[in-house]
Amino acid sequence: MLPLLEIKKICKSFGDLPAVNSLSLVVNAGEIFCLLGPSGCGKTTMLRMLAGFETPESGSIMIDGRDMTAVPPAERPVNIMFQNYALFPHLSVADNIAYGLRRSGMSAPALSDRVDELLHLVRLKRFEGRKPDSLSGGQRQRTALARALARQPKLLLLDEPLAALDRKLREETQVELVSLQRQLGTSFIVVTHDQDEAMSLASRIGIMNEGHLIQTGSPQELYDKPENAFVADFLGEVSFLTGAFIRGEPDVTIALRPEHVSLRSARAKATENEFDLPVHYESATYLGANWMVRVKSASGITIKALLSPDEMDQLAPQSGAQLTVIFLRSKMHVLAPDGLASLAGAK
Amino acid sequence: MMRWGRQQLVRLYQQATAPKIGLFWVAIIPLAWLTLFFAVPLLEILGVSLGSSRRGVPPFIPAWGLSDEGLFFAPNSDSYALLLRHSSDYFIPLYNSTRLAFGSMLICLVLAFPISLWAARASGAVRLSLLVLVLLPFWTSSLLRVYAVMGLLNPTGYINQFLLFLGLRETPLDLMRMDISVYFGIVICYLPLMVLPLYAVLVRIDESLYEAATDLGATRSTTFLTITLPMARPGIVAGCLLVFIPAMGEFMIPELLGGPEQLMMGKVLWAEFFRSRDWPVASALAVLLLLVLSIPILWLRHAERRMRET
Repeated sequence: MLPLLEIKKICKSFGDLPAVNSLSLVVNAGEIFCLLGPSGCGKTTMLRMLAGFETPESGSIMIDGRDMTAVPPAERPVNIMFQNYALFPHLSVADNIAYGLRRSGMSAPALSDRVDELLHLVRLKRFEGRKPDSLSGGQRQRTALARALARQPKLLLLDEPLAALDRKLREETQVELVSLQRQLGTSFIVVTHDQDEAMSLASRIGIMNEGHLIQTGSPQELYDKPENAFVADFLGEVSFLTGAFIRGEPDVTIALRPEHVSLRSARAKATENEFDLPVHYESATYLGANWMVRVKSASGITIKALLSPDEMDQLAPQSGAQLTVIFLRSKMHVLAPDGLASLAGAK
Repeated sequence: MMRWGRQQLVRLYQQATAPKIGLFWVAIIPLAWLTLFFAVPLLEILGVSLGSSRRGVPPFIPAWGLSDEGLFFAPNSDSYALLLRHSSDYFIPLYNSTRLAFGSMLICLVLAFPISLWAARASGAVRLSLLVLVLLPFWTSSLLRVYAVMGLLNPTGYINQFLLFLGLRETPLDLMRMDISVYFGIVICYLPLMVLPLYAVLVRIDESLYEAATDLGATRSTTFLTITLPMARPGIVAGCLLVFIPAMGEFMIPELLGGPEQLMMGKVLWAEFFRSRDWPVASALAVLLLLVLSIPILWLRHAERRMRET
């Protein structure tokens, strides 16, 4: 089957600053794909090129088998939901939603049916006559979503769709967005800098940094098998250890998630398939369900460990106390040789 | 002594800038200004219009005021009655004023819109130079600007010199003392009053709204008609009022650039005051003109409010 979106070696720079550097990507129909990266990594520029607001310097964008690289925004089977929603302040909710339909020369009865359908879809029927000014943040977001979906795009682009919402609302909206996407089957491309948002929304994530697409994969793949330190560090908490962990290889860098690290007393010994490392206790932060404990090895590497409150009570570490870090060999993730270099480059 | 003075000053400053008192002082200054220079003169004109004419200095007895015998209050509507009896005399100047002021307003709107839109969407340096170019003539006396227009339109002016030089005309074109010269004068003098409110609304339209419209299939002209124009409406209304109302009563421009065909209300008012020396009738005329002019203002405000509510 033909992929819905195929991006081939797209390059774009602003003046001397490269924004997107030879980016290639394939997105299939029905996916929620998240472009995740720190601010200034080029993800928004990539999204704007997909919408047609920016023209790439080289490379091509194929949507549904058609070359869209030079097609103007209005003629692409793509719609965008802006970060600030860009609702028309002088139009009511219903008129905002109908805006795109009016431009497509739809007949009046069909148009009002479609607007009604969309109003019900985003639960805004009661607010159809309101102006954007008199809506809550969530209602504004849903209006923008309905407006972007009105023309039944093959691909919906969402620029930081949840950034303007407060925490509680963000979680609800995340769930809604995913169920809406399942219901409609439209492919979503979401741009975000928030790893939690990406993890909970996306079927696949592409991590971007400095204009490059560094790694793509499902949230689990990226979390469990990051290709380099940047990806490991960007998604969740991680500690990096350098040393002789593998027989025959004197110096490798491994990434270790805090939940895979256990802390024992100084006398504890590792079993066959475990690894131990003497450390001393530095500090701990209470996270509600767990404790994030920081310990330091003799060689000065900081390791983070996630401990349950029970484990923490049992251990009751004093400042500077000698402890042992123990982790399963199978849980250490060996990074590419230039693993840490990529992190240094990014920061 | 010095020390005491400074402490007093500091205390006064603190009192004046304390939240509530500060607000009071901020409000009282414009309020006093408006009372002194708007409400009092308006009341004075109303008093003269309801008073009666006489030979002397001043050439009227007001309807109310303070005399040797104390306060008096004796309004009469003679001047208004006179005006209504001779109302047909004022139709033509009123029509001329409305026609020329309305025409100039439309020309200003058509010229100011692209300038404002350009300035609003341009980047720093271009925006600044555009606004300065629009405002710069505003810093010179309007009398000078009117003379500059005469220098352009005269039979020996630049435009005619140019036409004669190109050989397009054998004799100079008659451009002075016509509608076109009055339009020219009013537009040149009032253009900034249209540009500024338009610019102020257009610069606040977020760029992403244009992109959203484009994304939803709107062409450039549709975007202009469905987004730019409706969102600029408050600025259009403000600019039109700022041009139309003072242009209605304009005296200098039709006097210097117009002919008998361009007799406007301002000139009639002037004639009533200084030629007939009938101040009560002149004041009554001014009051009536004010009432006539407040109709479009009130109607526009009403329409604006209704638009906002629905």
